[in-house]
Amino acid sequence: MGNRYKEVLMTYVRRPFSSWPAAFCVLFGFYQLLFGWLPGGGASATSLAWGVLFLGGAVWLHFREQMVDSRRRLTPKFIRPHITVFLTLWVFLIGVCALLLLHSASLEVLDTICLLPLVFGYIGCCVATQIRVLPYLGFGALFWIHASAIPAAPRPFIPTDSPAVRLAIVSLGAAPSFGAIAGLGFAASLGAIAWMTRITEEHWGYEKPVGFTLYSEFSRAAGLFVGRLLKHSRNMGGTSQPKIPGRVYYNAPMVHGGPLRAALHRWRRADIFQTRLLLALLPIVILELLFMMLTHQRLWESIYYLQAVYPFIVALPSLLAASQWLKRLQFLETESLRPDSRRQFINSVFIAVAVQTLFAWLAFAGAVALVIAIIGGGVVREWTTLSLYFASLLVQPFGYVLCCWVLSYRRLATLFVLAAVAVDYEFWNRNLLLEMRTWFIIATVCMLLGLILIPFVYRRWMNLEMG
Amino acid sequence: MTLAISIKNLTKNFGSKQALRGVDLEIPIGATVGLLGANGSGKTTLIKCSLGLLRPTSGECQLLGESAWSLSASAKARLGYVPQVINLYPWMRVAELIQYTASFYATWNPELTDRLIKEWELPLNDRVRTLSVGQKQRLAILTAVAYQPDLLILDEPAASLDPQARRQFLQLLVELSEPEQRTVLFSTHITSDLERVADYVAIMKEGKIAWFGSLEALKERTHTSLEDAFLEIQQGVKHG
Repeated sequence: MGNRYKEVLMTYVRRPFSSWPAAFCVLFGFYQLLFGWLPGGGASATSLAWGVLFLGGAVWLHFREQMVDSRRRLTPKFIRPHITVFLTLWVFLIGVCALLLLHSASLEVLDTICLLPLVFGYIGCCVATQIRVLPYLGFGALFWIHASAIPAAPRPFIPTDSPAVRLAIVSLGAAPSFGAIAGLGFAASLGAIAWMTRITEEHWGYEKPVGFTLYSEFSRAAGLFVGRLLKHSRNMGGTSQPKIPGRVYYNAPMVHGGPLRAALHRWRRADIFQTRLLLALLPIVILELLFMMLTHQRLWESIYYLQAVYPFIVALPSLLAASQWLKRLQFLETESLRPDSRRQFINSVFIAVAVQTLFAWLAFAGAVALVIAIIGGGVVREWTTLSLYFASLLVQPFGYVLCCWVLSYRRLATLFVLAAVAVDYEFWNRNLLLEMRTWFIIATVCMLLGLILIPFVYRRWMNLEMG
Repeated sequence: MTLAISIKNLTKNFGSKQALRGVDLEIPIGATVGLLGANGSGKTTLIKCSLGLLRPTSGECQLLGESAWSLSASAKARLGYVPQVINLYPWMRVAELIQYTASFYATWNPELTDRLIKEWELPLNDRVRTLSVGQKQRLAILTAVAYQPDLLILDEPAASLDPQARRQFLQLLVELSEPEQRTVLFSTHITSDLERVADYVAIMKEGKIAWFGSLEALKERTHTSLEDAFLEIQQGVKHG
């Protein structure tokens, strides 16, 4: 019954376009895989890595979602079309990636054949098993694989004489050979398929959310780890003290003491939920940026090309913080954790948002500064670079307002986010440099827009929050 | 007598908790059986075990003459199920979900589908995640009955429906149970629903079938209404 196969295939198209983050991931993956290879597209092996990660991840996530669905047990001839369509897509993606890799002339055929199933298999293992340490290991392995798989690349493999960095990179290289890993990747992915088809409701239950993403898994794992380190995890998202019946709470009851203590506590209680998310983001963001930068060939040509990463520092932190808070709104509205008063709520939210935006900015700026410090040996100290950093920091609150306003209109937000990230990425990918003056103009416009929008954002927040 | 469902000495443990304690139940083909029981009495576990969604700890469970744990594709094609917790793909549009489900069943009835969509006013272009609980319930019922299964199992199907939708659903259930070869098993808390539709009643108590027989036999035995009879059995009142 061909119709079944067509319908299953259609779910792979419909699924990503049912929500804007998923659509973005898939479009971004396609963009990286396809358009980046056009003349002047700024393609690199990094583009391929991104494409593989986003598209491979999307395919695996959707397949898993279907396989753990308990209807599988009761729907006739459910398994075969799903596995067939999945394997077809899998082979197709690997084929496309292999052609692109070979086109880049950076890899041997054998390396390509070994590398891609490994990567896809590995993504599948992460998705199927949900073992949270796997993605971290994967990042390390990807870095090593990418670096060591292109021995003929016209750049030094280890960019620094620093013993620590050399030790870290060499230790990553102490893994088994390519062939063995590729074999394991194949076996693991086939094993994952076999394992998933055996899952029953007994294991997962109806309530098990299956629409998770690799990104959230990363975040959750890192967040729990950091939370435990900070001994905050027991308080996260709730109160450590008994609630008084009839009283409404935000995250925890107020404490009484001096104003400083109250302010500190207010920051802590308001921020604790989001801090967890932000702290979770830090290692991921740093890893991602390091991975992108260290594998970007043209960065080695001139350290000044690093200026092309400034859009990341300027736009993404406030976008991240705004999107996290808008996600939080749904909970605040329904979980009866309303603030005692509007003033208290504004105080808490303001401090929390400010801290989170700063954290996000530090994550991006810190990663860039770290790379500049490693590669460029102190270029970061240049006054122009430093002034750009400070300007980008000043822009954050206004950028936050702008993002928040746009993101609160979901349909518009889709376009905005896609455009912002695409422009950011293109600046970086094509090493587009702007004059310092241009950056300051962009910052000023952003601030002015933010100032104009503050009242509108405030009204929308109040409408959403306070009913 | 040919049986649609045959359950023998079925037990199911969740850790140290015993959810089913040796259930025996035989439902003949063509019967419409209402499964009554207090909260936590094991109705949902029994239904899931009988469908092969949960592996029993011990005992035997057969569905349409096959082991429930390893149903063939042809048996699955004759089986319809509406779970208590509706778990449809939230990202699909209603029309897409219907189309997707229909592709797996050769006996899908487009006329019945169109009729139910119209009667229940299902918004075809809306995504499932945006539907109300009642609308999701209707959609789940639609996707379970539209291929006219021989055995229809519904776990509290009317729980989230408004009075009008419940009435429509019960009418549909009566209509569906008319063909002689069709068997319906549904669990409910609402005794009036059961009285309108069922011709057999199974009452569960503490993981066991406390009573199974025809509705008339139960009423004759207790000389009361179904609700009182249910309460009496729950409280362990003996009847001569």
